[in-house]
Amino acid sequence: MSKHARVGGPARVILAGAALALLTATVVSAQERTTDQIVRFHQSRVAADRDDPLAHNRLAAAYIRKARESGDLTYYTLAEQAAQRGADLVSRGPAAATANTLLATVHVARHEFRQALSRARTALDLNPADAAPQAVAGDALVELGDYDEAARTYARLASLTGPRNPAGRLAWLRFLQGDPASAVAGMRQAVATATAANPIGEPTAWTRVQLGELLFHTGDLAGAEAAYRDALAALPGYHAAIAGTARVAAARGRLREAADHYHKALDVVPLPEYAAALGDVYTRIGREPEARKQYALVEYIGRLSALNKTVYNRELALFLADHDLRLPEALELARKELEARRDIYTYDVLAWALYKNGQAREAQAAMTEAQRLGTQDARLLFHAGMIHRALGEHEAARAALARALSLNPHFHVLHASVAAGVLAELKAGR
Amino acid sequence: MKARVVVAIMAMLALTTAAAHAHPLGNFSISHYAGLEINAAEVTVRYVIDMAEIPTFQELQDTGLVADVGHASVKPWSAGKARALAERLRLEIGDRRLPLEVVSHETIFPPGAGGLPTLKLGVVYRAALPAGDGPLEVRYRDENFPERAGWKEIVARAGAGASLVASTAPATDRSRELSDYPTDLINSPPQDLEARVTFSRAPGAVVATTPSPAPPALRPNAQVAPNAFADLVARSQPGVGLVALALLTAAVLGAFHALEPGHGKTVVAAYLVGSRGTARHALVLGLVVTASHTAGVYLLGGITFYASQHVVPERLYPWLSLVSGLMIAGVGLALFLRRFGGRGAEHGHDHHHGHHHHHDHHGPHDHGDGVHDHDHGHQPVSLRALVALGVSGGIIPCPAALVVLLTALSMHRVGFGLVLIVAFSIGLAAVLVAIGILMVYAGRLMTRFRDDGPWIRRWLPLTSSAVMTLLGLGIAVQAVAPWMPR
Repeated sequence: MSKHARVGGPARVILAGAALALLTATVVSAQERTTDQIVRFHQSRVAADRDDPLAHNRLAAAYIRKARESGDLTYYTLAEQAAQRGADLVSRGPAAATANTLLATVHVARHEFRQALSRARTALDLNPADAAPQAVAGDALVELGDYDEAARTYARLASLTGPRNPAGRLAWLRFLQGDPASAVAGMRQAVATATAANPIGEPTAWTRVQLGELLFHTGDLAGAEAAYRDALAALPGYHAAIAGTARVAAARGRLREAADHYHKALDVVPLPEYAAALGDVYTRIGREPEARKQYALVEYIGRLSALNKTVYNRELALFLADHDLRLPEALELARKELEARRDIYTYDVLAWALYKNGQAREAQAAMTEAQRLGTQDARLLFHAGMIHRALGEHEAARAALARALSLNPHFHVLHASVAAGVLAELKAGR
Repeated sequence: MKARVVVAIMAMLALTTAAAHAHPLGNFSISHYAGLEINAAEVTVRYVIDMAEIPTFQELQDTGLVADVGHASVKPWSAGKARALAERLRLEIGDRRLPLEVVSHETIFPPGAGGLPTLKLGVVYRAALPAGDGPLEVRYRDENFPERAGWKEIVARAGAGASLVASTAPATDRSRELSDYPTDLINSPPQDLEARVTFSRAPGAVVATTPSPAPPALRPNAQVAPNAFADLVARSQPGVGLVALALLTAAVLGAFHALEPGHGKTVVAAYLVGSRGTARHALVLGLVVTASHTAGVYLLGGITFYASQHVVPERLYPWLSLVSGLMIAGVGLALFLRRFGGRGAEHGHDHHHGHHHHHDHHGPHDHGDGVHDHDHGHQPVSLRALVALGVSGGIIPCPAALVVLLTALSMHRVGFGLVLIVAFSIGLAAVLVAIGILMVYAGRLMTRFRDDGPWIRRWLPLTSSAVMTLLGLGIAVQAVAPWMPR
């Protein structure tokens, strides 16, 4: 859970932003409606006029919302069909720009970041005054690891008027750039904006989950818990918020409660990161058979996603490396992911997989890339510390591990104690 | 014969289309279907749950259920699940909840992506209505698997002695009880978990107690076809007993597989009949066919595995089917032409007993003595020719074995898959050799009837090669069908 939430953060920002923007702009009357009602409404609009590009665009936006809410990627296929039809019906002007932005959003969801960027740029050419494609372009750039260009894009976004709120995106970028405090402040502002637009519904719930993730990174467990609770108030049964609650409970040592919450999240959407986290909780409690069951589920989902070419490469690589399973494959998956994106978290997973495969020197090089922004993320620092130790750089190892634990002493249900143990060993060895 | 050709082609197509299909609704979906039928005395609910690959895996993990309809665990699981699901199905009139009684239930395991099992459970529930007439409103709510993505459909119909006044649910379904998921832009999966139906009963309508309805006729998804073999590899971590069982099953499957058309068996049979083969020839030929068949599967599996790194499997499979279809058709056609061409020559020899036709391995012979020439200096069947023929007959890999191998590869259980293929091949070899020996003796028998013998032996090989050609073309056409303009 923690892995995906942090790793997938920017990707989700894109989706949240795009859906939020499009929905607030176009579906003002639909505030009280559920996503299914919104979908049905726009289906009826499209059925009434098969040649209306605006209706197709709105339907595509509704499908994207449904996909994010349910976690069911098949809705992206419907969103793509609707947006493609919108793009076919009109080739210039704002409607064409919106259709292309929606297609870019679908590409991001599928981790096709280069296509997303080029679609977003097409949209920008069609309507330079539109903020939405700026936002999607910026998010694709973050995933591709081009942080400077992403920052410039977000800056242009901020200068455009309109309902698009870049605060959430900028917050994540600040976090990556090693400034967690201003990231949290920015995300609080994003939450306020989203809540003002509509206190209930997925966009608000999603932004609150983002705030929860940032607060967890800074070790503010109470704040994170409150953010997840607020998210659940905005969208009851929201799986990301339930999983966040589980992570906080695990960090507080309430492991049985954490397991219950993870089970609930898995009942809604069996994401591999939830199953992996639940397995780790069971490992910690010493319930090995249950842990093995969850790990087997992660591997099963991995196999299926390999068959279906879906997007869990990085999550799976990290899972395998974390659990010392099929390490060469973990490395291969991480390298494959690097072809799709070159952001710091992909370099981090590559470094970790290299380290686990006994290639500490190469791991060090990848870790340098992962830390190029100075991101204050306990997981990154834990990985960096372990790699330093493997190379005999005890001083650097000590510094990294101590920093990881000071950011959040409970950053991971299993790794936090590993970090503490190694740190104590290093101190004793002096 | 024509009917048999069609059946044979259908069998092959079923195998080729089993290759790789995900569940049509995403592999963690759980779909619900409820068909309400209200008559004067009771409400019948035909309830179907369709679990995609991941929830099925979780269910198997949690309950020890085995994904095989014949397994002893299925019936008790099915009965228990039917009762458990009923607890979260609310059927109410006013503030009164009508208890649902389980009438019948059934479970099947249609294969999904990579042959991994999915699960479909159908239950018929019944609830008695309070006596009386006049309009009533029934409320139905499904609280099973809250928030989980899937197709959620409710339909409502009136039965004998009742008529619907108002209903929030349609009367006809879109999914044919979750066997087909027609989704397009303006028809996304229905998300209905609640319905309100107002109905009226004809005054004094008397309805005889309805007979117990059969459980919903469960059908696998239209998009996938079953493949028992791939299922076998897809099972979760096997124990020693299960491995032995898997190997045995693989061998039996191989044996049955040998009886399906298009595996060089016709070549073996026709050849042995035609060339005065002996039991030993039958043995060698059967083994060579099997060995080359297995090698062909490994080779193509390797190529496919390599290619699938670069090409999406959905794109690769049609090509694979096309190529293997054309190969089978080509071999079949070549054999057909050679045999057909041999007819004239054979006519010429019909009333002679020339020795040169020993070298005509494919033309039917006309020897009445039934005693074979075992002179090694003048052997009618050379080992080299045998091997060459066996290889050409067996090298065409069959989609069924290939799917097993690919499933094993995709599941990172290559070793197990390879061992299963070996077991499969042993079963295959046993039947091929048996058929070969049978043909040798049948062939000798046939030659006793001088008059009809040649006729049968000419037409048998001709027909078998024609069948092969048609089979190959069938597979090839199936492969390109999706690209054809409609």
